[in-house]
Amino acid sequence: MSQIFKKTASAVLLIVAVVLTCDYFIKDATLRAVANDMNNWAVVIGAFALGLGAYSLTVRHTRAIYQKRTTWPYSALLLGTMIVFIGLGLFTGSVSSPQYNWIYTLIVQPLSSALYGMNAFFIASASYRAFRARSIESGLLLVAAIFLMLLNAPIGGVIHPILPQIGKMIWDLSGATGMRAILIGIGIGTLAIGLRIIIGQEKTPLGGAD
Amino acid sequence: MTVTEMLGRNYKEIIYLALFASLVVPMIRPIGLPVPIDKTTADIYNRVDALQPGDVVVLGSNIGAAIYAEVYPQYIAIMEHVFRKEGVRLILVDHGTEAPIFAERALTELNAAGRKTYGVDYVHLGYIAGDEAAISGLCRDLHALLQVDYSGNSISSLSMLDDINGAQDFTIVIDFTASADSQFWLNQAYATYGTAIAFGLTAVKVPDAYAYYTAGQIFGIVESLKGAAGYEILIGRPGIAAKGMDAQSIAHLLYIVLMILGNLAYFMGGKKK
Repeated sequence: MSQIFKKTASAVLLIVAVVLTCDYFIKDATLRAVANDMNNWAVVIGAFALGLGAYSLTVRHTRAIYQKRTTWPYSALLLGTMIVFIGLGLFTGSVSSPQYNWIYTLIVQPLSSALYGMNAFFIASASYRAFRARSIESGLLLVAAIFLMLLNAPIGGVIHPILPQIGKMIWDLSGATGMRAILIGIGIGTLAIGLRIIIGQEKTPLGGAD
Repeated sequence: MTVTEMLGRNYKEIIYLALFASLVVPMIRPIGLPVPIDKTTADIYNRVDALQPGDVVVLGSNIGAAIYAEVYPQYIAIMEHVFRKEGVRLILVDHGTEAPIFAERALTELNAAGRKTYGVDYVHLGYIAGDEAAISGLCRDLHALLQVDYSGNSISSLSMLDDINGAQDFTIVIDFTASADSQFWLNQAYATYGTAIAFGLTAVKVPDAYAYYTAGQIFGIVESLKGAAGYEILIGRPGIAAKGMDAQSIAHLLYIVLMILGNLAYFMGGKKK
């Protein structure tokens, strides 16, 4: 059964890939209509995936509560929050309703921002304890970091106009060129893995190599 | 106690307190440091400013609570600028589940309903699931992809969209995010249709995008809070981003001082740690 499923999935994948690739290069109304439909199926599947994610989360955490695992209170909190938010969204008919906005703005937004903002404190502590010039390379990194920070804050230009200019030079010469090399590498890798999937050499997306 | 011993101690609590003070004090008592305008930000401003009646602007958003502080000020500043351009049509589309909340909030804050006509001057399409497939669908044929907008109005009832079918009709697209959907716009709108693209990004995402900017594949980047502050200055509406730049400056200065002190401790302590 599993083999039949995998072969069918491989065939579907191949057909979709060929149609969408041809659509990019060949301007044909019929081909375009078929490609549009296939693309829109992916959007529908994406929406279903959200529902599937919610279902999977519910099952996993309900089990954790039922089995009284050590983390069960967190599972209960997660499920409770999910029920409240889904219920409120369905009841008011919109995630922009005053009730939904109220609970989002007063609970989710501050908690989420605080979690993200805590990084600033960890970085401050790490700046003192860990960012050391232990070698020439780390020394260069340290100097570059200082200039880039002075580039990204108005204070750099206030201290001396040349400081942000040095930062910009580092940014342009090493940052952008290095990142471009990485992006080109990612692009080639994506193309290679894409071709392997299309021709059936790469089985991982279909659930393994067997 | 020697200087070496003094520097070698753990000052975690003091560092946290110093950072807290460096963030809070400038917010309460602004210093008023000049905000530099980056070329990447000015390029977006100039492109938006040159828009003509009938042009179509798409603002994509994946703004959530985590990146709200950095990206929302960019989003609202550019939206304000677009609203000032007479006859320019605006499409809002969301790629994240939280994004519609911020899109609606921005429309309310800017009094969109009082200044413009919904369905004629602007529309909010809402969240579309499917990541890159959603953006691809939007670029191919938005009428085939969507039946209703965010508020449940039929797409066919929105007169603004009558002559807008896909990416070939978008004059510019600006995407606000901290994740990969900016790349999706490049793949689906720029590479396929040649649509002009720009990004509003968090600081950590800027290095990826900068490579595309220098290659001429995107026309601008609003770089984190600094870019937002620059844009606010350009449109003459200084807001939360411009106010936050003093705090960011002092915090950066603190980081630099801490790095120098940390290295002093390291070298004076005989490179023990």
